Amino acid sequence: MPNSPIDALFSTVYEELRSAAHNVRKRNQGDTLNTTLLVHELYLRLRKSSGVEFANKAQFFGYAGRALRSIMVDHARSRIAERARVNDIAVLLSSETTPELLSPAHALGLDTALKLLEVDDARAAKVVELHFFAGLTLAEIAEHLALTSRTIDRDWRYARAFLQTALSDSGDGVS
Amino acid sequence: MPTKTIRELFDAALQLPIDTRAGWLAAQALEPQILARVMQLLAAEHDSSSVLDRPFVEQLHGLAQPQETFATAKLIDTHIDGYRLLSLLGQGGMAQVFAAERLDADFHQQVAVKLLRRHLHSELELRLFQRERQALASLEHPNIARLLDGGVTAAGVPYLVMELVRGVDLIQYARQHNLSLRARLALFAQVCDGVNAAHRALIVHRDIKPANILVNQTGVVKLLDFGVAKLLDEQIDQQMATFAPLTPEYAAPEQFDGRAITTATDVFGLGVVLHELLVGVRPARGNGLGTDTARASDLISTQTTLELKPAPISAPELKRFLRGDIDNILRQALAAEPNARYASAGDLAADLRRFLTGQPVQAHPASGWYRTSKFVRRNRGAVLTCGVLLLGLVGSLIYALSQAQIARAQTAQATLQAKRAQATRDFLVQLFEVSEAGVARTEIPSTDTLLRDGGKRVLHGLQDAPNLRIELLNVIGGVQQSLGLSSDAKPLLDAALMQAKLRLSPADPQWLQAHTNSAQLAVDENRFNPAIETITAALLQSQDKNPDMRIRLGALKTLALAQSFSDQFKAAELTTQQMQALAKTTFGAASIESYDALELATEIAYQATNFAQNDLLSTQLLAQANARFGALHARTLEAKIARIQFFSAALRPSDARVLAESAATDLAKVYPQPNETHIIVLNALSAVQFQTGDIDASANTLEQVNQLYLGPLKGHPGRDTLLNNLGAIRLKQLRFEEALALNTQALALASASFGAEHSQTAPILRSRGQILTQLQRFPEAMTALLKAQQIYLAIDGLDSPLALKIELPIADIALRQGYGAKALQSIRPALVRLRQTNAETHRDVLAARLLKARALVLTKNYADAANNLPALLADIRNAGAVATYLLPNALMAQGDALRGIGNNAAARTAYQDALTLRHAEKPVNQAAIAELDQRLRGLQ
Repeated sequence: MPNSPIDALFSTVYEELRSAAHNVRKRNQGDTLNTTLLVHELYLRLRKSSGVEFANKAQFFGYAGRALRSIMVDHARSRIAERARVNDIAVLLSSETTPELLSPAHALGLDTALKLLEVDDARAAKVVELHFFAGLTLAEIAEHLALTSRTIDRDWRYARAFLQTALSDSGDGVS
Repeated sequence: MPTKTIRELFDAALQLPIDTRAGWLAAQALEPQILARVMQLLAAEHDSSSVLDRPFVEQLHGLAQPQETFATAKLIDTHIDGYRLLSLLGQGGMAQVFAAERLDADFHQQVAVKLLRRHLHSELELRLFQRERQALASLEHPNIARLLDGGVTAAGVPYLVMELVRGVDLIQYARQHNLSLRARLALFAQVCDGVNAAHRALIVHRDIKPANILVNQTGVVKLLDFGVAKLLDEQIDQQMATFAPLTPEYAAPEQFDGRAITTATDVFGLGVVLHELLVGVRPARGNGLGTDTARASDLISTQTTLELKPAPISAPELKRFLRGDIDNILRQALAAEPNARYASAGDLAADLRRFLTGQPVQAHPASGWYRTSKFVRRNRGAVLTCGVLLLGLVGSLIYALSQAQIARAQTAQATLQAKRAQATRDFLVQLFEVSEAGVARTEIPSTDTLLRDGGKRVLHGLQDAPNLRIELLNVIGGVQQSLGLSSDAKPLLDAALMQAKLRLSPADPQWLQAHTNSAQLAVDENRFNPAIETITAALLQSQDKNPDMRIRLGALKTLALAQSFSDQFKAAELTTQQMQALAKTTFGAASIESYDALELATEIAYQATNFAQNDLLSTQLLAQANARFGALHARTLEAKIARIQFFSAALRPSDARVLAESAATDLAKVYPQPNETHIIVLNALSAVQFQTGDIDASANTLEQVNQLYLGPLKGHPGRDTLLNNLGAIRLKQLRFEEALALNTQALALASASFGAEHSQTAPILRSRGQILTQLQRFPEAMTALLKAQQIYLAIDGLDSPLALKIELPIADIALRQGYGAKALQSIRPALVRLRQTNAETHRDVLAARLLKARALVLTKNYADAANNLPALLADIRNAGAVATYLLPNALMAQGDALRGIGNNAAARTAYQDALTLRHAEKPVNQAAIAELDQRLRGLQ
């Protein structure tokens, strides 16, 4: 339901993060972004504005992780579409992405692997969204989810291993 | 023992030392696949490098920004959307141009395809590009190569498809055809016509050069790449001035230092091309990058080489041809100061045609102040009157100097003081002297002219007294600024700031003053955030070191204004409280400084719609004014205006009107000669008349103001705003054609005095969009609104609140054309952003909510609309007079929503309520009533 309040909140978070990420990227070209700052700032800003209400902070961070994940997929899709198209019209001379950074193929692979992980272990997938995407520390996640940090730490190690195996199965050949 | 899951095995193994894990797993008697999987996971866990180890956002940059470049050779024969690229026509740092043909066309019409080397990633960048392209596509003129198509490839590579012009550039063409000088001028006049057509559409070329001026086989001039320079300008969302790509040989001085680009920028480029066309070389550029002092004819000597000689005539002949009028025309086109140039390409063309037909040209050998000074020689008596005007200036100078004196009253500096006083006196004497030598004009030189002369003197003189120079630049620039002469003030204040940064310490009052003035300039240009940053930083740096509290108060005042204009009212109110406290402790409660602070606090409380505070402060202000200045005094009049504003805001229009009428009566007694206050009071009167629903009286009052502008206050700033307001009232009176005519006048005025892309033209473009919407001229309306939005975005960055507000009329157009989803798309994010800074009952928020409700109805989301509308209607009613105009439309939307969910009875009530309101309106909106009647009939 596009008009259900949950989705409106989500799309707000998505829009905001997308433009915030874009703006910050434009302003400090070359600098890396500070995820934590970006996400926390947005939280404060949205909370101040009267129109947006979150049930709790955890809900917001959940959205933020999910939104950043969609942003990743959007970017990767457009990059890959661009390549398919460019193969038609031109040749890309160079495409320098260092292996330990996300390539478009990686990104889509990661999204697929996350879907698998959601089925396999939903909480571990949630931890990925909060840690990798929304930039929360494992301790913060433990606090938000009201679990011990030992549990979250294990979730993360499992999720990381799970995704890593999925990525090396499928990813590299394409990029 | 129950079977463990992979996850459990993994967790358990992780608890063990690494070298014992395999052994432990082997002992678990697992299925081979399970064992393999757990081993694989453990290996991956141990793997040290993973993309997951760096937060996603840090990697986003690399993901979003490809480093690809196009290999030209491989692009040939490839397809871009519907076009096949045939051959490379040219390439530069910013773009590659190919000859191309349409794939699906019956005949092979060739076009030029330009691939811009710039990626567009975000929605917004894309939208800005598309909007600009839309504006350019509407440009149709025989001398302009048409923009046919364009778009953005999936990769975010923007491209443009243009009419392919086969020809050579203007200079080559003239050379190849051995054109006579007159033929060259005639050809060049065509160039000006093309440029002028674009200027009238408010499009500036920004990159006029021979390579962009081709002549085809039939001898017709075609201008290429109109406005493309702007499309290449990546800096559009930065708050800093933009530095678009430019061609240094042809660029105007303002393009080098990032000042405003206006139509005069193109005039400069045209001047360089004309120079090259006639003289054979480009003009020499001075330090200021202008060519004010050079004379084209001086370049021609009898020894002139054949190479330089452009036309088949002898050097002495050429020299004779250039001398006089052509020299003057070139000089006026090539002036360093944009204001000193021809205002548009059309004016330049007109002068060239006058020359060709033997009429006297308008270009004069000397600058404006020379002419003024000539006038003064002939009109000594009148000039004495001007002395009175000058007194104000002298007063400010003395004030500034006395401040400096207090600050530095030390014996060691006594000589310096004496020198300063002497230099000041010399300066004033010079100013009078200038005014004593001159030619005829029928008017007394205005304060504006005298200030401008003085400013020029200081800007180019006083090199031996640098600190005094800063002060005088501050004073004159500041006075000009307060008179609304921002464009005159800007060079002075820029120079003052630069010099202050170089020469003064933050402890010097003039250092703070220079920063304040510069921030005020930014405020005048609606660049609020930069202004706030400048002031805040300057106040911090000069903290406690600056002994001059008046200058500090001035800085706080500018800060408060910037804060309030950018809707940061809480901050602004705090700033004014700080000012009131500072004024009271430094100068006492009865001081004029305290009164000034109170006055500003009142204004800010008004802006902040803080009714209680505004009531309190405006009452105090008027009481203090009466006690301090008496009933018939300028400041008392202003206090009355403040109280009138309160009454209007507090929905006490009849109180407001009584006071406004009394103010209008006082006016003639306080100021027998019409002046700016007449404009202010009459504007206020017109506003309350408007509010009391007396739109006709309001229009009449504005008409009266217009008469002042046409007569005694001719040339006074603000007429563009007045005409714009009058246009807006005609819009309310449903007299759309008149509204459009007034708006057109306002736009012309503003464009001529500020430039097409100045913040001053934006509100006019905005109302233009609304007027055109009423006239159902939607594409033009859209163009005007987008243009206004672009101006705000360029000035104030992507967060510009004014740009945001334009989303509302844009969505309105989408709704009127039936594009509900599209409207919803633009109104949703706009509403989110509006709510970040405004209360739920803010007029703009209400308007946006109503648009959203209408869009929901249009997209058949009736239930959603019906859910939203009751709260909206209640909020509109609570918001009072500022929002009542929304009520009939909101009721109609509610009717539509209720009908949509099948509640016809309630829908009828809503429509009937709307109808009742519509009938009570003056003038009666027949179209709206017809619409409601139709809906009511539809219910039967």
